Amino acid sequence: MNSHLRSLRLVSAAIVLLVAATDAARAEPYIAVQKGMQCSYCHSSPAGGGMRNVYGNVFAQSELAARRFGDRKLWTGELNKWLSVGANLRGSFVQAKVPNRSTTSDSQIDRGTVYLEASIIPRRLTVYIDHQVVPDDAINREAYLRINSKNTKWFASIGRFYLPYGLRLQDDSAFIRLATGANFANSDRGIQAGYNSGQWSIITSLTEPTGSTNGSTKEFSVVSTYVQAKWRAGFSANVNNDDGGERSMFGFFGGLKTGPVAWLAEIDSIRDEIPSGSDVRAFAGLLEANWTFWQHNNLKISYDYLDPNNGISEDHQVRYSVVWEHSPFQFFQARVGYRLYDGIPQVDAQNRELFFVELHGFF
Amino acid sequence: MLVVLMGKYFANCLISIDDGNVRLTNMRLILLLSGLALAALGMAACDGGDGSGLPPRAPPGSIDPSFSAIQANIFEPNCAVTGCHFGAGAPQGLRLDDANSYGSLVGVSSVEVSSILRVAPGDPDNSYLIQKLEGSASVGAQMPLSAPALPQADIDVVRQWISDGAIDDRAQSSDPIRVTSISPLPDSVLSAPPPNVVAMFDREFDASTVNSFTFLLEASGGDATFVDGNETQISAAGIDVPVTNPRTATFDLSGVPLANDTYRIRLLGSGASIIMDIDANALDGEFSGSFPSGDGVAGGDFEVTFSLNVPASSSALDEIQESVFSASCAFSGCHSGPSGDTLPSGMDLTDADASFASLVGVSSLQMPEVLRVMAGDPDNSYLIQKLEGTAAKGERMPFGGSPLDQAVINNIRRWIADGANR
Repeated sequence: MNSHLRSLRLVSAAIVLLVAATDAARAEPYIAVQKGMQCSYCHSSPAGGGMRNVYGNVFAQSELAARRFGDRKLWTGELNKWLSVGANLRGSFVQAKVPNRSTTSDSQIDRGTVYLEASIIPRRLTVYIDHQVVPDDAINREAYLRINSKNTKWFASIGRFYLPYGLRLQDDSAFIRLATGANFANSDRGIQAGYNSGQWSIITSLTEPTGSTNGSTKEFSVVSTYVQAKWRAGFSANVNNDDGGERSMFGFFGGLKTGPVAWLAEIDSIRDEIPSGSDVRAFAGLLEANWTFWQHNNLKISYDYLDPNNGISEDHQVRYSVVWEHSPFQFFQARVGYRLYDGIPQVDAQNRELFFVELHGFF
Repeated sequence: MLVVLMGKYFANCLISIDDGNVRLTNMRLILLLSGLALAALGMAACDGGDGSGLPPRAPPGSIDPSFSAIQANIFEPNCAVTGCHFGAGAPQGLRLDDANSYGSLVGVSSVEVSSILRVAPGDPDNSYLIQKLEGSASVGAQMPLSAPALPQADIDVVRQWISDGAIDDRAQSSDPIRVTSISPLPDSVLSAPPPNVVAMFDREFDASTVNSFTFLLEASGGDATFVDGNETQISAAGIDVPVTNPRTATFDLSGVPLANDTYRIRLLGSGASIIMDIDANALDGEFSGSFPSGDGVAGGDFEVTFSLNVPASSSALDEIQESVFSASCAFSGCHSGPSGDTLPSGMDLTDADASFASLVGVSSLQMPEVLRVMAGDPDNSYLIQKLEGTAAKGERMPFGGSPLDQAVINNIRRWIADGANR
């Protein structure tokens, strides 16, 4: 009996190790769902995304990759106790089929960014910079000064940062990110403050939208997430008033881990009031399944929905995606995917098909 | 397949709950999340809309190069959508909905590259809108974001509209005519003299009303104000209205020297002589910082200023030597050296080093109490006085030749004001 129990424990331990190894982080919210952690567990930013912290870097080498080349010493991103660096480079080959147009193929550098974090006072006072260096002229994406409380649970930042809203997906073309404008193409100046207890977090920001023509324009955004080992639920809201009108939006999102599958879902309601026209209410949604079907291999199946104006019938768009992600060795990921867009016939681009291969190097 | 996968794994999840690994409270939350997922699954049953609630769109290549057609067929379906260039929070403040599109584009500086207009009427290559649509902008992604580029046929329509003057064809014939752009830009500071001043209007105007009485350029007289009577009118080499673009008027500055100064451009909409369109509507000219001009009531002058500040570079003396001293002064028998106490040859201007030694901090022989060049003080530099003909003694230089253009003298003034460095 004891021998049988010991065997069971060994098998269980092996299964646990196997599952842990295949729950590989790929810098996306589903990884946080699989691990039952906040995004900030692996990322320097309290809201997730951007530079990886020590744990994120170690995780990327110890669990993410199928193999690890080089010596036994792990890269942590820390040059010394004050200074940490990181970088991302994404390149892709995309073949696009748009109705009534010839098929196009394009290879490009999608984005290259460098990160710098200076811990002026370790764990208390931090300067963080996220700078895009390719493919265009240098663009500052995030740059802020952050102060943390002694227990590091509270923080306040001032500078430029991405709006805290919804699931911070890597894919800016997801309808929930496009329609809300809370994506990696938009960062604003302002202040940010938040609390993170590990299980529960709330992040708020007060910003001045880029390009605002009214100096007094302010945008308020909040995201709150409650995290458990196998599930999470969150709420986002955003209000933006300027001379172009008023936008208010809110959304619910969640994650659920069922065995090797991590589910993500988000629903957003967006209301635009414009002085010279009628109000417009839009809805956007995402359902995504991430199935770790084999070690270091993830199959992402997602469905996007967007109704850009619920006052107009039959104007909605949907998108189906199937993406295979593989991390053969540390600091490298390959993605192969197919997306099918289905939208109104008046706009050919809303009915396109994409086949793509993406390569992602990072540290 | 998605449905099968969801069913399987939700079932697995509930079974693990039955095994007691998940508490009842968690089960409720899981069910809540399951509901959320199922709601999304409900959406998954939907295909894309059939577009029946929207007007048909003109096929690419058949769109008129007019603003109203571009708005309806290009901007509305591709750009002025939720989360993009629509409503509050529109990226870079650019709103492309029907009410805001024209005012957000024409004559308005880009936020990403402030030196470029989003739409520069008549100049599609230097319009940021075109650069973003064609993917040639130096900053940011090609538009539409995260979508295929527009068909080149559509972009060409936008190009044509800009080439034609970026007119708002929605204006009624009874509306007053308005200014849609001006070059140089209002309040701009130029480092080189502009070749012309170009005004664009929102419709064809009566060319006979745009002339030297209604299209004016004034220099402030060096004080950047236009109220103290020392202003000077700049005479144009010509005021032209291209036959191919009768919404554009050009104040030609070819051969017209402009000194560093503040200039005011005026297009008159009130008074005895005014600019009118072909329906005899008067110019609505009041300018409050954004185009098009006007307060909605016919009449009112359009007035903006720009400044010219041609910098003196670190090699300013070399340039002055080449363009002025060597060309106009260092002839044999004039300031040809060698250096000494006899004029004119003793004031050696044969090369930059000799000129520096002969001029900077050296007393004039004609008026020893005045330095030839007093670094930082062009007005009290004898060189300037001789070149401008204000010296108390002797002839204006170049002796026996035509006076230098004031713009050329101003460059020498600038060099002196900047410290007369070698």
